[in-house]
Amino acid sequence: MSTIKLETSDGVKFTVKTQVAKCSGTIRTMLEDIGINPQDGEAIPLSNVHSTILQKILVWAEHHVDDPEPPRDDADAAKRTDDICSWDEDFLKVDQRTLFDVMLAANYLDMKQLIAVCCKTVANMIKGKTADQIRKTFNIENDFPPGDEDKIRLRNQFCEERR
Amino acid sequence: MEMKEDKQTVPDLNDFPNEILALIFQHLRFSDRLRMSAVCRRWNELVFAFFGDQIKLHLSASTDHSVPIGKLSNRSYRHVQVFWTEDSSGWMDAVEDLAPKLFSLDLYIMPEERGFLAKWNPPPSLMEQFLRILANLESLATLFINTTPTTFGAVLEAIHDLTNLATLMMEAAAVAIKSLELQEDGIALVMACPDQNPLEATTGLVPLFGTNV
Repeated sequence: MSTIKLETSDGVKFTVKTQVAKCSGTIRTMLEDIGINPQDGEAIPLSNVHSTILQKILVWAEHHVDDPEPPRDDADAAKRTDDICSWDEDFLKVDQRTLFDVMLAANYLDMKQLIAVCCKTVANMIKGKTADQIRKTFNIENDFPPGDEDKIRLRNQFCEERR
Repeated sequence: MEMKEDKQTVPDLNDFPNEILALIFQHLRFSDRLRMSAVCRRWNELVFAFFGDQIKLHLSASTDHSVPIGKLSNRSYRHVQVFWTEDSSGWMDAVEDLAPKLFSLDLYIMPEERGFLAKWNPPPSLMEQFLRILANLESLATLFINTTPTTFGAVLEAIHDLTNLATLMMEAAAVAIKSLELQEDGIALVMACPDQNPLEATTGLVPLFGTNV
């Protein structure tokens, strides 16, 4: 079985099944288009990913390696957030920092399905919260000039969804 | 000190590129998106950049006049509904600002006393502004106007050169519109009887041209 080596930002080397590594669009491109030859035994450097996070992502990729390609442009599926499979739900029961690190790494590694499930998880954390609660939850700075937030809030009262 | 260090290493939701934030936002309902627009400047801009065409702004007498409807945080509305009344004339200034970028506009221009509808003329300054707005609707696709029959001719002239306009609906509460004549250089309205008693009048909602024409 073919394997390749990956090296994380903190210098840890992982030997990974090629098929699993190819869950990452970034690695797939490196192997297929740029023609990096993994047989040389040289590790592919993933300078934006820490070993603890790569470890976690590889567990996810291993579990989902045989998933069928998702249907493209499925607008209804994209809107739902209650369709996270229970394995993924457990997988993402982590502290916020780990969740965001996984998301950032998944983005860097171009893993669309993992990004999608992370985004749904974050959306579920936002749902029903006030602006203030959202800022507290995600440690976001309120950078509006004084008074602007109130104006926005007032103005939002006159907005409705256009169908 | 430890706290501060910790804070620096905790990834912020705002470390993510716009595309990822949009992916998160698309899973949320309209009411959640509006609340998100009040979280920080970036989210405010993103909500309007990605979902602005799903938001419709209503301006009427019941709208709080102390709310400025300018371009705060680059927010610009694509769909606006305005009910003009004499004491909410300020809304027309807001609409004039927004006009060039609007995709749809519902305009209600009527006197408060509905009994005078058939013979009412908008004040000259309002009419001037109204026509100025109409001439600036470069991006507009759908226009709905509910006003008095006296303004129809001027309105049709003003929108003559709007190239993107696909749907135009005009409603005149006090007049029966007998027929429409499509002419090569525009549209002529033939009205039944402008002086007829409003109480006997039928309400005419006339699609002047649809997407098929």
